Amino acid sequence: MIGQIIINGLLNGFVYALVAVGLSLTWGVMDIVNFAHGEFLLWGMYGAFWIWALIGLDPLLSLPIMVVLIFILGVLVYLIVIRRVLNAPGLTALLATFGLSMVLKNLTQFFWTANYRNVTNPLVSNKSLKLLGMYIRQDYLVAAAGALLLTILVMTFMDKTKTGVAIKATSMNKQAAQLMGIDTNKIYAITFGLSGACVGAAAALMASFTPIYPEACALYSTLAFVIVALGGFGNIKGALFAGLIIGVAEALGGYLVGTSYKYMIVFIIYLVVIQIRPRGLFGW
Amino acid sequence: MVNIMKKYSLAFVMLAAFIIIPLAVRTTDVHNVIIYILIYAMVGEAWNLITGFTGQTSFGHAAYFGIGAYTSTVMLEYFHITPWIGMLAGGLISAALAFIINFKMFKLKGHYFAIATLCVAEILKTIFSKWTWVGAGDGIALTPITALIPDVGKSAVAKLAWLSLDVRNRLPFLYTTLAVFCVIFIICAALENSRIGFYWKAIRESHEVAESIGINPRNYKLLAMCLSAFFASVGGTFFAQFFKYIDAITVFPLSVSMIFVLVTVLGGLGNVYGPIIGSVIYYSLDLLMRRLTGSSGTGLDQIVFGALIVLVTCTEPRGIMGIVDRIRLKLAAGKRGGESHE
Amino acid sequence: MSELLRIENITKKFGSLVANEDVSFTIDEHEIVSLIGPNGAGKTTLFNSIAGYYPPTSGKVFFHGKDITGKPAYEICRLGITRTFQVVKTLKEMTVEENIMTGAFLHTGSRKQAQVMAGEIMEMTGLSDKKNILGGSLTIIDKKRVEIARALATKPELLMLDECMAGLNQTEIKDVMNLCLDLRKNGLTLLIVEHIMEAIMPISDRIVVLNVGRKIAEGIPSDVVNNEEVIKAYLGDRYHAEGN
Repeated sequence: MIGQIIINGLLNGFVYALVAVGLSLTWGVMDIVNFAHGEFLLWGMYGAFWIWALIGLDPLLSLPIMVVLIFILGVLVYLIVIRRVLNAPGLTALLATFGLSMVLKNLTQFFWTANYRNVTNPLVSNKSLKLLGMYIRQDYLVAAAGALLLTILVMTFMDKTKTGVAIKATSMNKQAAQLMGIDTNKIYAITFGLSGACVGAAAALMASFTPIYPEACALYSTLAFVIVALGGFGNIKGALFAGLIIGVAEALGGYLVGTSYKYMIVFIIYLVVIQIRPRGLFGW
Repeated sequence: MVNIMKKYSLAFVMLAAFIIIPLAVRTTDVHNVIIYILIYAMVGEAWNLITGFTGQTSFGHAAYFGIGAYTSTVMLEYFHITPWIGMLAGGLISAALAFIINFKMFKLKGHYFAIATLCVAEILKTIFSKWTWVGAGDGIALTPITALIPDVGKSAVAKLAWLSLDVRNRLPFLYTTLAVFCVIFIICAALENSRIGFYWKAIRESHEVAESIGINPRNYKLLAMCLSAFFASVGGTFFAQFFKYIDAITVFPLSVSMIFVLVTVLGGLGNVYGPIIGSVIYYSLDLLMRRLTGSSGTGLDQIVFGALIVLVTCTEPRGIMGIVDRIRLKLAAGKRGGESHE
Repeated sequence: MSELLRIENITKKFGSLVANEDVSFTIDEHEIVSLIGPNGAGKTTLFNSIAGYYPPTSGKVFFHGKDITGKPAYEICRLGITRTFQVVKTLKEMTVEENIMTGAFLHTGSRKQAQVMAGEIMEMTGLSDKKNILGGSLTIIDKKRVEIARALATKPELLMLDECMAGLNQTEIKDVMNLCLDLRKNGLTLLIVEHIMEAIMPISDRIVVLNVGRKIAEGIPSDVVNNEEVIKAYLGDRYHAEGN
């Protein structure tokens, strides 16, 4: 039974991790707390939904489209708004992203009302596989596998490509990076786009089994904040592991203490861990 | 005295407006908006102490707001104690909680601290939504005070103690809220100009410098946090009396914490006028939008707001007060220019 | 003259890195003592150990004969030791006057009195005409002045200056030198970390030389410059630099 619960938690955790990795990029590299991150996810889900509803393309298959579209959304948001508040004092940038989140969230309500929308008859059904005596829902498994794959892809991109290394260099020391000939403005735009691409992908993976409505992503974005802090800012590997920890903790807490307390367990875990590791699990 | 009048001329103008407008415009929705403005400005001032002045970002002030709402409500409904005492009790409980939680938490830096405050509020939200004694998921609906204590209002003192905090007497309630807001505003302004305010700002600017000139950062941060929690809690009591119904989802969520952040940063972070200016603009526009678009529900008002916030942040990072300052400087320069021409 | 500060066998390790090893010296009242040494000699580390920014691994610091080892920085400041920072840390969103008043509040709760004290110090440090400028928009020399002025406002007995002349031009350095001498005349004791020899030699009563964490020489300026070990430490450095 416990094994079954841990598996469920892990499956959730991979998706959390992908959303958190996206958030970690902008938070760690640019030190921008993006309150509109959840709304990027939301637009990704609506995007995947409407592609399915209008031309019948399954959300899983529209993943590449969503990655590109939300990447563009991220870049646009950076160019139009974030760029102007990047060097502003205090919480200005945070407020700007909060305003953005209001706009993006309520636009979905304005266009498509507050009604729940569901993708019916998705490509991968919600039937369970029996594996080593445990039941695993196929659609969850596919989403988790996809999320893991994409997270690894992002990590490889950061380590192995020139752009990835430039992003890391910029996060460590912006001025030095500029002196080395890195166009930090471009790097920031790419980082924001990449952050969007992560949630675009997560949205496509989740759209077939998650009800879609304007408030659907509030919880994901709150959890992503906690996950990123738990893992340590700017640490992508940290975000991945913290995502898994939170996924399992939530599932175990839900089982042992009660479903309505499962998020409380998550928040308590953060408060305890942060006392011992003030810079997150993987921070130093 | 003349100096104070001059320095705080804006405050006196605003006070006059807050006294006159409710008498001039006698419609319930305008009165409601003014009460909202005052309550959120109150908590904004509270939040400004710890985040604007002291530089420790809190995303969890709904925790203290909620405790204030629940404490006074429970004391009123279950024990028939006037909300004035409930307000003080809630404030003290909030301050004590802030002390206990943050005694250890202040070693956290920046975002790690901010996320911790968010977690505290979320934990309280879960506890209160499950705690049957305080109504659990159903929350508590406030009974009219006259029904709760039938013989109230015989003496003037009793009237003041009970009915001034009953929103069913809308104008007295509005002026009571205004009076309490003024007290909080004056305390915040006085603190800003005292040694404590200077020390808070030094801590905000640089921990190391603060220590090098003899400031114990933790103690001053704790002081800021406890005061902040107390005032936020007072705001919570007013909210409960105004809204006449509370539950965990209404008072504890992140979206409520963010309102305090929003009005303050919109008005001007670290500026004692920030919260009230931000709150006035936010809620008057809200009223305007609702009247223009008919009703909410389409989200159009929120879209316009969000866009407005983005616009303000992109043009003036110091919020509305930054714009006010800029205009003031321009006017002063214009005047001087005019004089030199003569 | 009586002893003000005594440092006994201070050792500071960061993991396996030894930043200070067994350093001892004393400072008498109304003395100007300079701490010099090549880059990485451990001067700033020693400063931080004395000022309470981190406790030394071993060894003791005495002030007026009282053990102050490991006390937090704000307590050490209240006892009468105030430091400045090598990388100036002006309080950016506060005006020059407010910067200095913040220091002055150590001895008074009254805003008026703090303002008067700040006024005197601004006069002394040549900042009077800039009192309403925000700390963040000052030039480097003025930032350094504010740094010193803010420290002075706490009325220390011992003022510790960490490379406050680096990056200044000749006249500006002269100003700071004169300021140091004035301060001493007013009864202060100074411990100065500095790279610029021409500035340090004429004003110092004694010089302590560190190299790779150890004290290699101590004495009056003329003795120290002729000390073999010191020449080796510095010239070795210089030859190296020229080799590049």
